Amino acid sequence: MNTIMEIDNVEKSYGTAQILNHCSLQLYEGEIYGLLGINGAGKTTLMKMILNLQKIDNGRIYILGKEISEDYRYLQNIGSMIETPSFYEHLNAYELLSMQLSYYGKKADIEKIIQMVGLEEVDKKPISKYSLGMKQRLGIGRAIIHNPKLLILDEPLNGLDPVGISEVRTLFKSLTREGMSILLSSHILEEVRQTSDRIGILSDGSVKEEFSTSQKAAEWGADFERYVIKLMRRNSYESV
Amino acid sequence: MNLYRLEMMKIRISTYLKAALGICAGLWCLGILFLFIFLLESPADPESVELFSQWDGLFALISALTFSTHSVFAACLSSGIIIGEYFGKNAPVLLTFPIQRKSVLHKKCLIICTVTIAAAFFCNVTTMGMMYIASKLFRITPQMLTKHFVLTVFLASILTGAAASALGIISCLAGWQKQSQTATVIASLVIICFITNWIALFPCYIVPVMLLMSIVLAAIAVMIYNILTKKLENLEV
Repeated sequence: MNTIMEIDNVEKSYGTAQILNHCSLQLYEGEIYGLLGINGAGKTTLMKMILNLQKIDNGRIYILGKEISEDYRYLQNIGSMIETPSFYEHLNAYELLSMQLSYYGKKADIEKIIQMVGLEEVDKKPISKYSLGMKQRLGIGRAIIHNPKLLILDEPLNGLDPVGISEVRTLFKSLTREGMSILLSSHILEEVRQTSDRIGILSDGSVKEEFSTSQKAAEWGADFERYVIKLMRRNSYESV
Repeated sequence: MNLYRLEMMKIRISTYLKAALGICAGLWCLGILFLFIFLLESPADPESVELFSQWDGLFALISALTFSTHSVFAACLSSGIIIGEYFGKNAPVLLTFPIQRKSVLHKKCLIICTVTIAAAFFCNVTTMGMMYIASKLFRITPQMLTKHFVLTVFLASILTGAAASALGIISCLAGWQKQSQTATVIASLVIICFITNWIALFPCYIVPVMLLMSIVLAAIAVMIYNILTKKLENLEV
């Protein structure tokens, strides 16, 4: 399998607080990688470093074989949704996605993306009128509109109803079948289990455990959640 | 130009246009009021109304007001489209576009300059136009309007806009340091308190004064722009 992204011994600290400490991780083509960790583990920080929103103290990150450095052009291959998505609320969905495409210098079927994320009934309404779930869907649409090779999603299922969660899960699966790779973090363990091909537990600044979701889910069955929580607790206790 | 258009799409420009028209309306009223000051029959201090008795003096006063109001206007614009963007919730999206960060900042500064210069020019010229019409209607200004003065109005109005837009960018540095849109506006208010009076000090030399002021403020604005560019490259969200 081709490696889409490689995080190699990355470190990051804020003052005296070490957030990431020799963190390494690999993401393969067409894979969904679920990143789990307790609050403050560094999941969002890691994602921001991939997106050049935070500087890397030490270590390297490679996207499609090239190290990300001062060359912003690698961002062409990445779509992202970090934290709660924010928009220019006087625009409507169509205008926003059109603007997004223009920034990437690409063309796409905007109507098709709007349909994929289930916003066809409100695409001409100003975003100020959208509910939280609609904004979340629009955030996903904005992340995928330019057909990136890598998607970075931080809590993509926040605010979605069960139908929305199911639709988005189906969407992610179809995107990976087309070759897109997804790194997502979520607090909804069941959704990470159903969506991800592999799961990584981020603890004490690095990925302490990594496993195939289907294998572990088959091994642990109904106790899978208990197994993951135990892993997360064990690693966080070990750090104390 | 495409990036300029994209940045313009993000701004609710109608809000700023309404603000600019509001400033205009205020200055039109003030300008007409200034004309009537000359009509005071027994002013306590005749020298104090001398400024209002000539078109040069009136224009200097109006230019000073245009400069100060549009400097704050430019500061509001820059606080919204620079400080509000880079320290607001849209920053993660803005900074993950595959575009040089400084290119986006450059276009934002260009928007501030073009909108402010256009607004200030329109305001200054239309205010003088309103005053001229009022003076004809009420026959209250003794001095004849000359072609030279009309040219002075156009030139000085452009320079007033340029100076105001430069000040808008300069005040952005305070906003960036404090990561506050309010600080940007307050910085502009503080700066105009010190420099606005210079415009009305030499009413007969308004163009050289505005030219000098524009050059100095533009030079400072360019320095501030370079500082902001360096800060932007290292900005973490």
